[in-house]
Amino acid sequence: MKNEVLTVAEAAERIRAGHVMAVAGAAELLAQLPAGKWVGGTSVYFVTDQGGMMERTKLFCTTFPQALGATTRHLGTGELGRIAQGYRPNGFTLIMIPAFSDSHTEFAMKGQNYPGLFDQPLLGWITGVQLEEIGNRDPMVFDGGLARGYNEGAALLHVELAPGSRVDLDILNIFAQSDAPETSFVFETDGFTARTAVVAGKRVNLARYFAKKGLDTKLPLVANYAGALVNVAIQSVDPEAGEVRFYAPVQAGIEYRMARALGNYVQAFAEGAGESGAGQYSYNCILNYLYGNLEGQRTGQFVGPVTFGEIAYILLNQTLVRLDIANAA
Amino acid sequence: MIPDADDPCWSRVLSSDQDLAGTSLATRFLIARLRSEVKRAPTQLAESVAELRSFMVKNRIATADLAKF
Repeated sequence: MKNEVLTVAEAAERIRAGHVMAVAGAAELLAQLPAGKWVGGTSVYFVTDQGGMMERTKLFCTTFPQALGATTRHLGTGELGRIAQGYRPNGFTLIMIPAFSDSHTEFAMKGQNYPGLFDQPLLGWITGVQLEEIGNRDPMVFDGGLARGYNEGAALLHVELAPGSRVDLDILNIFAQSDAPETSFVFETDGFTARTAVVAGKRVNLARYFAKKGLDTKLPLVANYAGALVNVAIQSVDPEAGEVRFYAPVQAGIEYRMARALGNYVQAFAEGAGESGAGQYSYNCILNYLYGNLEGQRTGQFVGPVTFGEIAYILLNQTLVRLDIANAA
Repeated sequence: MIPDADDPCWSRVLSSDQDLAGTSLATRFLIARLRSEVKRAPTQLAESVAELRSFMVKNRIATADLAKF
C-alpha cells in the first residue's frame, strides 16, 4: 500500500488512472474528486511520517496496488445488514460511517450480528469533522463510484485481490486492563449510556461511583474478547443526572476493566508498533491524538487518518487499526 | 479438515474463557460474541456451534485457527 498526502488534483489524477484508493480529508476537497474506485471520509487530522497534523488543504490517500478490482456501494442505515453481500473473492472491504449518525448507532449496536460480517476482513472508520465544528457540521462519507457524499449510511469499497493474497487485519491497543477489583464493571443492558453497573457484586450508580473514586475518564473501559482487548471510551460522566455516556456501546454480561494508566502515548505506540507499520493502511483514534498530544508526534511507522471511531469488524475506540497485504506467492 | 459439529472442540471453546492468542481477529471477535450468547442462553449452544463451524468452513485463514482451540 502507498500512503501519501496529496492535493485534490494529484488525487484526482490517481483516481482517473483507475487506482483503488481510500481517501480522507475535508468535505469540500472530497467533493471535488471524480468518480472512480475509491471510498472517502471526512477527517482533517492525519498522522504522517512528519507526525500528527491538522490539514484542510490536502487529502490523505492510500492506494492499494494489489487490488484486481473494486466495487463501491452506499448503504442506508436500514440496509447495513447487507454489508457482506458485496464481499468480493479473496478480498477485503473498507467501510466508512459518519459520526453521530443513525448508522453509527445502528452499526455499533447490531453490526457484529450481521450475516456473514466476519467472512472477510472488514475495516474502516467513523468519519469526523474539525473539533471546533462538532454540532455545526455533519461528518460525511463518500461513495467514490458515484462521487457522491452522504451524512448517513455507510460508504463501502469492496476490494478483490489475487487468489492466494494474504490479508492481515489487526489492532494495536496501547491499553491493558487494570487488575483492581474496584474498577471491574459488568453492565446489565447494552448501550451507549449506562446508569448502573455491577462492581464486586454490588449494583452502583456508575456516574457517582466514577466521581467518588476520582477515576480518570480519559482511560477507556477494556473488555477481553477471547484475547483481543476492546476499548470503550468514556464520553461524559454526569453524577447529577446519574449517567455515563460512551463512544461505543457497552454490552451486557461482559466484564469491563478500567485501563491501566499510561505513562506516555507516543512511547506506548512506539513500543507496541516496534518496527512494523511501514507500507500498511492504518488509522488511529482522535482521543489518542488528543489525550496523547500526538500533534507533531509519530506513532512508530504507522501513518493514516485520525478518526472518530475505528472499525475492525466491530466498532472500536482509542485503538489503532492496521491492514497489511501480502501478495500471492 | 474441519471437525464435525458434534466434536467436543466446539462446545469446549464456546464454554471456556480461554484467550485465543495467535488466532485471527475475526475468530476472536466471533467467538467472544458466541460465548456471550451461550452464557446468556445455554440452550443456544448447538446454534452457536453451527455458526462457528460454518465460519470456519468458509474462511481459509480461520481454519488455521482451529489448531489453537
